[in-house]
Amino acid sequence: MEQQEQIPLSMVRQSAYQLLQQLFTFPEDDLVKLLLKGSLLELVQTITQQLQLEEEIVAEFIREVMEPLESVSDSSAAVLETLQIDYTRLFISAYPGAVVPPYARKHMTEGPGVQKEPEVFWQRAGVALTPQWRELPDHVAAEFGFMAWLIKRNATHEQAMDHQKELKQEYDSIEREFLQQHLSQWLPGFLRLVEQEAGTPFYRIMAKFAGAYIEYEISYFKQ
Amino acid sequence: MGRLAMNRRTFLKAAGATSGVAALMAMNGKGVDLFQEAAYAGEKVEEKVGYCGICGMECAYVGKVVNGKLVKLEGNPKDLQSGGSLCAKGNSGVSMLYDPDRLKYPLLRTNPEKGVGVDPKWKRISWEEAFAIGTEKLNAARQSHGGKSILWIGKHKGNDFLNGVGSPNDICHHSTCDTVRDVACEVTLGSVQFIPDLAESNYILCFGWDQFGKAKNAWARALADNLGQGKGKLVVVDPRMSPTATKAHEWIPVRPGGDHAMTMAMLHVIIKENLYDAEYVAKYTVGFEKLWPAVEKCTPDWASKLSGVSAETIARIAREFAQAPSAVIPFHKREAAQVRENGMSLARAMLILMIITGNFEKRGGALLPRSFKLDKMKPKAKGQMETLERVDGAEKFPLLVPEPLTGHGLFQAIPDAILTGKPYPVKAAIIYAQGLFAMSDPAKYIEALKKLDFVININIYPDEIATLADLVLPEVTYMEKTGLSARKFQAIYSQIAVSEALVEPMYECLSLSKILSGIMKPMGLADYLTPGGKDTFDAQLAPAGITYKEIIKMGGVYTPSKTFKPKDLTDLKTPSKKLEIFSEEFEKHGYENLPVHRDNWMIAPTSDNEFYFTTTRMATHRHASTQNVPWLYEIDPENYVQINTQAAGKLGIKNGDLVEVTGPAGKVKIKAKLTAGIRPDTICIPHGYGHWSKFITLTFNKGANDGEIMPAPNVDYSLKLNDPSGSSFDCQFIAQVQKA
Repeated sequence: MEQQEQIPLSMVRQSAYQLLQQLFTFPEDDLVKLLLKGSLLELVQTITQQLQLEEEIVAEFIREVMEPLESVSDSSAAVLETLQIDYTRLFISAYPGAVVPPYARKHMTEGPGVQKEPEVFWQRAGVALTPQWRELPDHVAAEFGFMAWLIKRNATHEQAMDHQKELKQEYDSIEREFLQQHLSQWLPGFLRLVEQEAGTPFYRIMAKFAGAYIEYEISYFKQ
Repeated sequence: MGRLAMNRRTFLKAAGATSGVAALMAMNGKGVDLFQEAAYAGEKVEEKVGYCGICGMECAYVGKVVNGKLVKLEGNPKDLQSGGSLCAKGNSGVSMLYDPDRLKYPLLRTNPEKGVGVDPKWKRISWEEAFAIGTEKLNAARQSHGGKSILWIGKHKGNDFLNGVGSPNDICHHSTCDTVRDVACEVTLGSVQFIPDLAESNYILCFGWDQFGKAKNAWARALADNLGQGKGKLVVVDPRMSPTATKAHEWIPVRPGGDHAMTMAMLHVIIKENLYDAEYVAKYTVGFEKLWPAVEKCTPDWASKLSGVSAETIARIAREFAQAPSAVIPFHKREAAQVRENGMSLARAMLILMIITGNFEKRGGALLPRSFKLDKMKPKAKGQMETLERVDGAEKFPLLVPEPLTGHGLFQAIPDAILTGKPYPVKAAIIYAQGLFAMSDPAKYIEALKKLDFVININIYPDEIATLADLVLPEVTYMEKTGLSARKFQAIYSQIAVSEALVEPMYECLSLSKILSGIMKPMGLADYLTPGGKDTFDAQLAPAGITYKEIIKMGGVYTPSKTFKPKDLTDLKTPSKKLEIFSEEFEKHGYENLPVHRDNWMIAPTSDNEFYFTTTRMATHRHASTQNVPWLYEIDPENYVQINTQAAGKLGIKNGDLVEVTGPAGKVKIKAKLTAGIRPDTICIPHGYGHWSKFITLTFNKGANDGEIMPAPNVDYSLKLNDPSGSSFDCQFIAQVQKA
């Protein structure tokens, strides 16, 4: 096992959420490039090692995604098409039915300590989705993106001046409450469904990876 | 783990990957631009105006937008038509806008196999790809079989495209909906419809017209106001105790199809007893002298045998109707006049009853539409049809389709035309805003669609048609676009309504005009596109002397004049310029020119398990298009078959039992709803349910589609009827019921 250098946790977490945001966005050329160049594997492995997630997921990723890619002469266009068909099937207009609609509202139930509307947290953080975002606000990619934004914003306050400490505390609590009251209420179940229903090893293993990461996050905020 | 490390090293060496930190840093540069700083000085609340797009009534609304999100639609108080309220359908727009089941991106079918329950294996594609693929396939059809081999099926908004490719095949569902009314009104009044002045009427007589069941806001509200104020008497002649019948002063459960005889007898009584308005008739009508010979033998006793309504009741209703200060017989769509083979004669008789009692262009009676005439935009190039011969044979119905691209046709004849390749082969179709459920015998329609080389579906929901298409293109909802409408359902005063986009288009949905432009421009048909959209609104509004922005500023609705002025009934668009009791047009084309009875129109059940078939729709739904709208789904998730309690008892059927209903085209399984409010010889299924597209997750597999038991006659059958409307007469059959 190679010795890994210690990377700041906020950097790892921000990267993890941004990676998840990209993985759960409709696949385009850049994702395939990331995959074929090996950068995606690198990311998954780094995050796994830094956060001590289950390493078997990385092994599975190599075995079932990377090695077949090495041995077949699939063009990037063919890889992209395979991913796009599976993404469409899983999240856009899946069959039968919307197998795993990627929206919080489809997987959450009301209850004490549950906040179904992600916008409540955005408003507290003073942000809004850009006008270019055309999806529903509770799309999984937007929610991952919001966590990434929060972590990034918090990191800039790491060496906060006294007058900014209050702000940092507020961002900390938004991050914790968004995870506890919202993300943790639906993501584990949603990701298990994706893992179950995925038609490609890529999405199956990525869902497993995302699930392991979200479990890490849930226990991180329990501490 | 050794194998993992080795493989990973091998792989990374080959791929030349970066270090872990660098990979993280590269990733950290991405994605954060999803969010931007927003100034939340409390909530940003905007009020934007618009008009509803769920039904054709186009009631004006005010949309409340909080921080960019539509949270509520409310009726616009400036709208004289809606009176500042919206129906359930109008209110539900918010939930449709944000329904996760909506179509979001262009989708390309990757599975060549098509059919019920077959996974289309869609792939999301870009608009560029979608337009390129669509253009290529449509051009291929044009080159191999001419432009005429391409159909436009759906709301008649495809004229630019059809003009461009020279296809006369503008196919719409109207022959299953309102062509009887359109043709009857056109020849009699010189207008395809009239507007009942429900708010002021002293006597409202309905033959199957069920406005509280349909819940078209303006009409239902006006009728409710009338009844609430005790102004008029409401009489409902309907085999079923419809929602309107429950509010009526009198419900007459007529034998299905017998209403026609009742109207003939009413004419008989009114003429015989000199109850007609002789001065009005002399001044504004032609052909009255020919009417008596046509109805002389149609006595109340005669009609009683056919209708099951007592002769006394028929004569009394005739007298009450004629003697009321104002009276109206509203009729609209898919009612008695449209669904049975005596419908044209019934429609004409209903119009003539209103005419001879002097009720046209009178407050409380029937009014001709008063739409404001906006300036029409025209494309640069004029279309040239390759042929006037249509695949549905509609050109053989000259009063229905007097010229190409009128929006009418024989919808029910399309499957046979495609399957037989006669009169010529069809290769491709663009289907717009037209579900599979508008067609009777959909199984035949599915087989026909499978035969086509390429089907494009422009849609908001991934419904059944979308699952059968090769290319699915997502359209925006009415809440995501601008609009301008000179509405036609309010006849007292003309009113113009405008729409702002309440929110930006969601996902990658486009407006129909942008989709058409994307298809037509690469086909070299840009000159056939009619200029449209916000930039043309002021030019269209020029005759009103007002601009789009000014109407928005004044609250979204502009009323040019609030003074009611009766129209000149000696200057109508009929050949005689008057109200035509006797139709020269019908005479010229060999149709019956006066109301007439034929014995073979009357059918009857012959055993306990046989029933007259009727259909209706839920007040909460628009045809088959809103069943998946979440808030409407919550109210009415499933349909049923209404059966008389005693009749059901004879068959051992209990409330809620699953029953099998069989008609000429097939059978459906559906839950029974027992009621005393329907004749023992009649059943009724509300339309719009039984969706089998699994993509519309709420309504999937809920209830049954009445269309699956209805026949879809071909053009030869329709010609044989010698009826000018080309109607499919969907309920002209006897259904069988048994416990499933």
